[in-house]
Amino acid sequence: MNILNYSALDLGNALKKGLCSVLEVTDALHQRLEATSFLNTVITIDWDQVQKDAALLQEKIEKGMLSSPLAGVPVLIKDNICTRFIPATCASKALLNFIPPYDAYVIEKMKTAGMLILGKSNMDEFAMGSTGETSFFGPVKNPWNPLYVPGGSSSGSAAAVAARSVFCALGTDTGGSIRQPASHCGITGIKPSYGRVSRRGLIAYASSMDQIGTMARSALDCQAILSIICGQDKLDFTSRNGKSIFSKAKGVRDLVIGIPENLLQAAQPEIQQCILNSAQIFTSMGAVVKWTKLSYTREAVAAYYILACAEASSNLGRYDGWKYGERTPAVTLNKQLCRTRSEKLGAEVKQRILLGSFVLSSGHFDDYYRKAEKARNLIRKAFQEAFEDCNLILTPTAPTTAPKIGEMLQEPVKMYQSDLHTVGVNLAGLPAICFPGGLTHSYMPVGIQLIAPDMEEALLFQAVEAFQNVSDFHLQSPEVNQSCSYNVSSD
Amino acid sequence: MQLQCVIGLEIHAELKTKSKLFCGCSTAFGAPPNTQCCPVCTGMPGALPALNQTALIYAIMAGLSLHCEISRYTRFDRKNYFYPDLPKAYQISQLYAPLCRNGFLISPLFPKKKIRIREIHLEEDAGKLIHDRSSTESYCDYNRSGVPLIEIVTEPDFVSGLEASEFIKALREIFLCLDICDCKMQEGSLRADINISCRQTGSSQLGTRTEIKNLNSLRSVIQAADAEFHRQTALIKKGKSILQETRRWNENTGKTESLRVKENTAEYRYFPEPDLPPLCLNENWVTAIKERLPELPDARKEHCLSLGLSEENAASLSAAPDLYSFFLSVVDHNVSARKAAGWILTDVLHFLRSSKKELLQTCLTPKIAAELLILMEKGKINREGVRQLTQVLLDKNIDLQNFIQSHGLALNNNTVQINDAIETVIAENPKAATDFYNGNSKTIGFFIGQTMKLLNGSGDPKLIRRILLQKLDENLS
Repeated sequence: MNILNYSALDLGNALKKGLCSVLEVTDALHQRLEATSFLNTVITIDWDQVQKDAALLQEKIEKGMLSSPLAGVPVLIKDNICTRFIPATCASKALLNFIPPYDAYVIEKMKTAGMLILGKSNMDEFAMGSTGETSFFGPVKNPWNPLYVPGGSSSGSAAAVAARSVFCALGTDTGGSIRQPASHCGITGIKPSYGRVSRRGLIAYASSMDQIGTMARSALDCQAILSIICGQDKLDFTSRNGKSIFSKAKGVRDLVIGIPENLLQAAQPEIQQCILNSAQIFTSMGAVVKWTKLSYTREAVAAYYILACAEASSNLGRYDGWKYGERTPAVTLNKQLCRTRSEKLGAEVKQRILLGSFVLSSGHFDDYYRKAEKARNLIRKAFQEAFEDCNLILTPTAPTTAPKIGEMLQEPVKMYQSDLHTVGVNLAGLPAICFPGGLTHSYMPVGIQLIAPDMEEALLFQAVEAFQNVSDFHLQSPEVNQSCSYNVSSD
Repeated sequence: MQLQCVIGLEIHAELKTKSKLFCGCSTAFGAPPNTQCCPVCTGMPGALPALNQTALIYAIMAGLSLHCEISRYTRFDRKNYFYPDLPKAYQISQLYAPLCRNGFLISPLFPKKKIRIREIHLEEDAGKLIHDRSSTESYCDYNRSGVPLIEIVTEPDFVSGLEASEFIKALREIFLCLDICDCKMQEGSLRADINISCRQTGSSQLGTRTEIKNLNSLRSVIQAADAEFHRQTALIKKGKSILQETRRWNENTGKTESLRVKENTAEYRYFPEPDLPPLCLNENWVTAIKERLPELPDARKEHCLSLGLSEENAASLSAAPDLYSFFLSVVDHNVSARKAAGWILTDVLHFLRSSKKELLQTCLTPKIAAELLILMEKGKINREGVRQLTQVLLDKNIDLQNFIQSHGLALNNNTVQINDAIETVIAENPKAATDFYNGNSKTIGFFIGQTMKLLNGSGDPKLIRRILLQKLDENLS
């Protein structure tokens, strides 16, 4: 079997047994990434450094110094997570020359476990976007069809995993930024409970919702990586310890899975069909699937964009050109600030900063921010109520499959509304996983979302692992091809 | 039209914690620029704040000492604005749920005036800009960025700059006593902003207020308040209106000058800090802090008075925490409180001032001080000996008894020597003796002095007096 088709856990196993070496693996990835470079999934990889790291890790593995099942496994990191001495640009012109002098908490943990930090993946600028098109480095392309977007904002991570260019990656999810690209690219991705993973070293977009999560080709892999990076960090006061992410039980027998009808109906018919098919599979394994109510939809998107933009307007204030990045010269301090920010930040980012500044300004604070906070509480309550009579909630991840490149940029409101299925989870701080549920007639992947109560990641993994044991949607892979004639024709 | 001055204070006090409010960097004053900063206090992307619990405790101590309610639920908010000394472009402060509310303080000079404290909140300091005079460049120093501050906001309860400055003085004594702030206005560890407006006597309607920022001495608080009040009354009497603005005090001209006119409302886009969860303070935890509070200046003074000290000495000792605690330790060794206080406030204070040292920097211990005072009480050494010994004891550790012997500081109790000396003095001063017999009792002092001189200052004055009177009596009969 081609090394590139290994799961992360299989690869870790093979490395331990000496069936292949870390250097062979990185060489294979290097070739594959070159071959798929038109997908534009990567911002920074220093191959010389990677080779050095690989050699060092190989030595440690041979000496038996690394016990983690993922020792030696290369991982791609979204470019908004700080890695010592590797640029962290957030795909923004404002951070082009920012080289963090420190590792994020998750990177510390991965390095300790002996995982190989490969490099940094492309993304929407500052994680703002649902398509991967707002990057200063140009749009990321969908490996299933490069005329289409991969989703966003963890676009490069998702596309690279789907294209078999890497085995696994870290993404971040503020309003769906792991799950939605996972859905559009046909991979598995988990957004953990808020606080499950430390945000120290994650460049903030909306602090009260940002969460680092894992992306791979199976739930098992996602779980294995998450187990390395999760846990309370005493330097992130919002991080927490919680129940184990490993479940003692196997299978889904007697689990009650609720499907909110309104969320199902807000998706394309073909997607609805995939959801119902997957419900069938769960039922066939002994789960109880039923209709449930999750009585919010419109409020969630509005509340999300008000709160996220408000926090973003504050979090991004520091990109003033006075400390890093270049500043645009001007006569006065204020003009310098305005020109620098106007020039260095992209259109989508500026739009959200303006929105956020507006909703926080006096006279509007009560009408927008306060109301959005109230809505957030109602959404939390709605989930609590829903979880009173079911263990998990099953929904589409997105209302449509991946749109064509350029399509969404013209229609920002439509783009924001496409976050309908994902943002509620972030507002409520819940864990949710997205996994492949089949392809449409035009060969584009459809993702399915399972949502669990706070700190119940174990239940998500238990259910999806059972699902992936009896189905092969997650094994389907695109024939990555720059022209991609075979499925454009069926469009 | 009679106009009255109305003043409210906003006081920023830097807390004396070892590390900053949200990171482990040192807070020491005066280090070379940018040597005490890290990703957190320079606002690097990805950095997160982690609350320093000591700062929280200090702020609660301040609140408790100023009779405030301590909020059981409190949280931080972001105050957003752009300035190069503010690396995150927001300051972590408290707006919606401050830590302490509704306190008061009464300053000793105005015992009938209760100054209400609206709130005390905890926040981080900004960095400093350094302007290079030889070029047009400016530089940022982030050493101060993230140093913990408390802001004490009073109600507009003062009617003069003097009242305001006395309040700051009283506040300073409390903070020094709590040991939570250096209170050095010149170094900026205590800074005062005053809000000032005019009101017609008898009316409750306040005029437009101006704010005078960063007053760095008590004197400037008084002078700036007076100058601003005069400026405002002059304008009002001319029928002109007062602009709501921020002003600064110019010491050279003795006038306040406009810094910036406030726009309609300051736009700080405050919102709850998402990186720090709200704090729910445990009742027992706060009570434990309260129980550990040191004695405050008021209580100290009471204590001093109860030990029999004069009003003046009690006030002086209670205002100086180090002298006060030293005094208590000395008194613990069974020494007269009045004598101990008298000695500390004269000899000890004199030498501390002349050597510009703090008590803790000297070699003086309560035990040896008590030994000295007991020797003095027992008449073993004279006044001058005590003075000399005090100076020596501040500088080195010595064996008191040996030193007294070897330096001839012991009182001369040799009656024969004293007798001889007195006889010589009387014989050499027949006129003074005659004066004495004629009823001029002042001459006795003269005789004692002369005798002392003859004995090189080592005679026991009580003994000399007794023998002298005996001798003069004998001569008369």
